[in-house]
Amino acid sequence: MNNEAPIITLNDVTKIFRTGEIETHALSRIDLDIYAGDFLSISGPSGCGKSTLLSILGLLDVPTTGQYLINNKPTESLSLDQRAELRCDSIGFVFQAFNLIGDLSVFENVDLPLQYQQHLDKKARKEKVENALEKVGMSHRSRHFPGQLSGGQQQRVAVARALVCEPSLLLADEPTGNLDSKNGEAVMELLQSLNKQGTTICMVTHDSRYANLSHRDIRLFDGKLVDEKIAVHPMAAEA
Amino acid sequence: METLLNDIKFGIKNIKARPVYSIIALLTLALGIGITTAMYTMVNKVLLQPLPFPESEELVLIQFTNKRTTQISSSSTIKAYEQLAEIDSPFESISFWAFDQFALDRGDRQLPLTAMITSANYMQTFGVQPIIGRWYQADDVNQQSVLISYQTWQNEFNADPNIPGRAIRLNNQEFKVLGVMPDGFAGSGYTQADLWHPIDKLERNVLLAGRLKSGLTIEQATQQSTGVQRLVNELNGDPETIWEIRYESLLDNVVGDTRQPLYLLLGSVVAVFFIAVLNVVNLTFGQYSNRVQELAVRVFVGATRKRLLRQLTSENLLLCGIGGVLGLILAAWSLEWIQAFMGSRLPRASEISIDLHTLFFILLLITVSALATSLIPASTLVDPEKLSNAIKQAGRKSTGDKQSQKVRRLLVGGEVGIAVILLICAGLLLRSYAILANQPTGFNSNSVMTGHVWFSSDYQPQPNAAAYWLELVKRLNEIPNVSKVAASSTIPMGRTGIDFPVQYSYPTAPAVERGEEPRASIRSITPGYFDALEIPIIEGREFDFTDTAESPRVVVINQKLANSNWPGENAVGNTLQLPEWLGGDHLVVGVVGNVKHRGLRSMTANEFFLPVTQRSYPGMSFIVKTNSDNTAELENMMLQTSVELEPTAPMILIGPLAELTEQSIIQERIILTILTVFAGIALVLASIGVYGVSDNFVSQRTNEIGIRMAIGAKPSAIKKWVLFDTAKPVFLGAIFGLLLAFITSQFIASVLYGVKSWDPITFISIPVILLSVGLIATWIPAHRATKVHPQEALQYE
Repeated sequence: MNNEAPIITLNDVTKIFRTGEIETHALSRIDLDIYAGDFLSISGPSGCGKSTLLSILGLLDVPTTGQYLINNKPTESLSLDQRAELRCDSIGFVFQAFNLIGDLSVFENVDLPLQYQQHLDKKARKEKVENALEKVGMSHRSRHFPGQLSGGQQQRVAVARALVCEPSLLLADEPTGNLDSKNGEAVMELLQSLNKQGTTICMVTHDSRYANLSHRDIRLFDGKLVDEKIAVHPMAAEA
Repeated sequence: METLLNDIKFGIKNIKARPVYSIIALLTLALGIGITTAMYTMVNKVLLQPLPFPESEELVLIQFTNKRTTQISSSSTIKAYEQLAEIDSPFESISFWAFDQFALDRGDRQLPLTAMITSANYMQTFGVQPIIGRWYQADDVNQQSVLISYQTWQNEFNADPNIPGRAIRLNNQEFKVLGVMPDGFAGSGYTQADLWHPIDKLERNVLLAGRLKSGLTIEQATQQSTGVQRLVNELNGDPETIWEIRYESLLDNVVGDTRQPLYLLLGSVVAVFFIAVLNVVNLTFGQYSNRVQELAVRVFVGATRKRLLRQLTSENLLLCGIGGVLGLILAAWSLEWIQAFMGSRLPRASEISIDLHTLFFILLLITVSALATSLIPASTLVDPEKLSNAIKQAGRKSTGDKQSQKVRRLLVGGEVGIAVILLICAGLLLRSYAILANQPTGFNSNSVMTGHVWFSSDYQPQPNAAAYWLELVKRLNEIPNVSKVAASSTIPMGRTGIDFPVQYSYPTAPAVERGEEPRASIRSITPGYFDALEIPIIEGREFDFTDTAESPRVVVINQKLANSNWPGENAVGNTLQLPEWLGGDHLVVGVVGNVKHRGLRSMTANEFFLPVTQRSYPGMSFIVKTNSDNTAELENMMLQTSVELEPTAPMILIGPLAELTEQSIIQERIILTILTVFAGIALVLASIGVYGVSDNFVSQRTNEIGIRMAIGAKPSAIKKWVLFDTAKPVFLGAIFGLLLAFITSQFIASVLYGVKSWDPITFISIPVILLSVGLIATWIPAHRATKVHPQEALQYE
C-alpha cells in the first residue's frame, strides 16, 4: 500500500440516474483512492459505469450518495464556479472524440483553459502553450486548425490542452477509441511518458492492451468495482 | 413534373414535421408579404394608377403663379372662363366649378347636401356617364336640374330606378333629377359631392379644369398658351405678366401632399419585408443545419447539388406560397383598416382594392421570398463534398459550419441595421409630432363647439347677412348651458369658411413693387369672438355693438401684423388702408394675440378682423362655449336653432373645436401611427432574428459548451462568451443602421417639425433601446447555455 495520502478519494459512491419511474444504478458503492503519480485504468464492458465514474472524478457530475474528496477535501458543497476553478487548475481532460473546437487554431485550443485562469498574462500564456505543444510534439502545427490534422495529431493537441494548466490529475476517456492502432499506441506512449514525468493519469479504456500499460487497472461491472489489478507503483519502481 | 410534385409532397411533409418552424416562418412571411402588399396596393392606386376618367392624363387644373412671390392661385371667375372658352387654346374643353350647400327637403327636416355648381359642359369634360339618366347640357342651365351622387340615390331615394325626371325639393324650390353619377365619382375637386348643378352665373370665384387636346403634354400645352396668357394679362390689367398661367395634372392635384408620406411608408414597409425574409432565411439556416444527415444521405444515393437546390427551393416555394395567401388575406384586412383609419384624408381611398396589380405583386414577393429563403442558406450548406464529409466525420466532433454562422450573423446584423433605420425615422416623427401637438394655438378650444352656416347659393333666400348672423348668435346664446357665443367668417383650424389674403397698406408703409404688396388675411367677426376663444387683447379693445354699419370703419389686427407695420409702437390709433371694396381706410382699435389659424404646422399669418356689421359674408362659423358635457344634445340644439331661424340653412359641420385642432395634424398622426407599427414589427422581427441566431448558436455549440466547461470555464464565462459572440452582429448592425439612418432621415426632413433630421436624442436613444432589446434576446440563450449539463453536452451530437 502507498503510505502517502491519496489525492482522490471516493467513499461509498453511488450514482443513480432516474428517468421517470425507472432508476438506473450507474455506480454502486464505489470506494477508490488515487495517489499522486498513479496511472490508473478503468476498464469494463460498455454501460458498466466507466464514463460516469470519470465524470464524477472530473467534477462534471455529482454522486447520488457517498463522498468524493480531492486532497482530502469534500467536493459535495462546492459551487459550480468552485468546481470550474478546480477543473481548470487541477484536472485535465482528454476525450475519445478529441473535442477540439473547430473554429480555433491548435494554439488557440490549447490556450483556451489558460484564458479561464484569469491571473495569467498573454506572454505567460504563450509560453505555457508552447511548452505544452512541445511536450506532445505538435509545436509545428500550432497555426493549423483541427480539421487540417489527422486523428492522432488531434488527440495530441487534446492532450496538450489537458496539460497546459499543469493539472495534478489527467482524466482520459477512451483516448485511443477513435484512433487506428498506430496512432493509438503513439498516444499511449505519450501518456506513459507524461506519467513518468509525474502526471497522475486516470484513463477509461475497454482495450486490455492499453489497460495493461497502467499501474493499476480497476474493472467495473454493472456499476460495481469488481476487480483491481496492481502492477508496479511508479514510485516503487523508481525506488 | 413528377419530380416537382414529389418535391412539393416532401415539402408538405416537412411543414408538418416541423410545426414550430413552419408556423413561425409562415406568420413572419404572411406579415411581411401582407403589409407590403397592402401598402403597394395603396401607393399603386393612389399615386400610379390613372384617375377613373377616360384619358384622365388629359385633365388639368388651370392655375396662376405669381412670378414675384411664387404664390399659386387656383381662383378664377366665370368671366375668365367665358373668354377662355372663346379663344384658341390647347384645350378640348374647359369647365368651371365651385362648392355650395343645398338643403334637401325630407318632409320632416332639411338635409344639408354638398353641392358642386358647375358649367354645363362639366360632365363632358370629365367624360363620365351617369349610370342612369343623362348628363346636363347647355339647355339645362337655369332649368333647376341636378345630377345626384350614387350615395344620395341609395340613401335618400332608395335607389329608385325611375329617379331621372323626378322632381325633388332643394332650398324650398323644385329641381329635376337628370341622372345618377357612378359610385365613387368625385369629379374635379375629388371631394365627394352629393349633387351637381349647372349654372352660368356666379358672383364669387370659381375653379377651372380643362381637357387638353388629344396627345398634348402639359409642357406642350404650356408652350401653346400664349393666347391664354395674353388673356390672363388683360383680365388682370397686368402688362408685365405677373400672374403666369400654369397647368397642374388633375392626378397631381388630387394626390397633393400625400405623395411623399406614401412613398415614405412604402419604403418603410419594404424594409419590414426584407427583415421578415431575412428572418425566415435565418430560421431556414437552422433547419438545414438540422437536416445535414438527411441531405448527406441524398448525396450518397446520387443527388447532385442542382437537384438538392431544386428540392429545397420547391419546399420553400410551397411555404412562401402559403405565406403569400395568408399575406393576401392580411393585405385585404389591412386595406380595410387603412381606409377606415385614413378616411377622407387619403385621396382616392374609395378606389383602393385588391386587383390584378396586387396579385402580380404578391407573386413577385412570394418568388423573391422563396428564392432568398432557399438559395441563401443552401448556397453555404448544400455542398455535396461538405455533406459527405459531415457523415464521414460524425465521430470527430467539431463545431458547426463556420461559413453559415458568418452568413447568419451578417443577416441578423442587416436585420438590426434596417430596424435601426425604421426606428429612427419613427422616433424622429414621434418627436416631431410631440412638439407639433404641444404647439400653443393662441386660443382655448376647451368646451367649445363649432358649426357652420352657408348662404351662398342663388337658390337660397339672401337675408340681411349681418343682422341674420347677430340674430343667430343671440338665439344660440339662449340654449341652456351655453355661456358664450360668437361667429367668424373663418375659425381657427376650420375646414370651411372664407379665408383669403387681402392687399393692405398704411400711411408710413415703404414703397414696394407691383405684385409684392403686403397681404393679410381677412376675418369678419361678431362681438365677443376673442372673449369666447380666450384670445388675449394686447392693446385697445375688441368690437362691441357700438361698431355698426354707420359708425366709423374699425379694424382689429393681430400682433404679427402690428409688429410688422408699427414695430415698437402702439398700433391702436393708426390707420390700416384696405382696398376700396372693403371700405378703404380703417382705424385700428385693437391688437390681439396671434393664432394658428391654418393648423398647428402653419406659420402665423398677418390677420385683420372687421366687425360683421361693416363687412359680412354669406357663410359664418359659430363658436359656442358650453358648461355642459352633453355635446350630443348641444349639437342637436344648435342644428335646431339654425333651422328654426331659416329652414333652408341648417347648421353643418357641428362638432368640438378641439377635434378640429387634432384634425389639423391628423396626417402626421396617421403617418406616425403606421410607421410606428412598421417600426414595432421590425423591432420584434429583428429581436426574433437575434434570438434565433443566438439560440441556434447555443444549440450548435452545445458540445463546445461542454468542452469549455470541462476544461474549466465557469458558467459566467460561458454566458460572457455566448453574449459577446452573439451580440457582436447586433452591435455592428446597429452602427451600420445608424450610419444609414443619417442619410435616410434626410428624406423625411421636410415632414419633420421642430426636430432636426439628425436629432441627437433620437439617434442616441433608439440604438440604446434596440441594443437593450438585442441584449435581452441574446441573454436568454446565453443563460440557457450556462444551464447545459457538461457531461450531457459532451455526449451531444
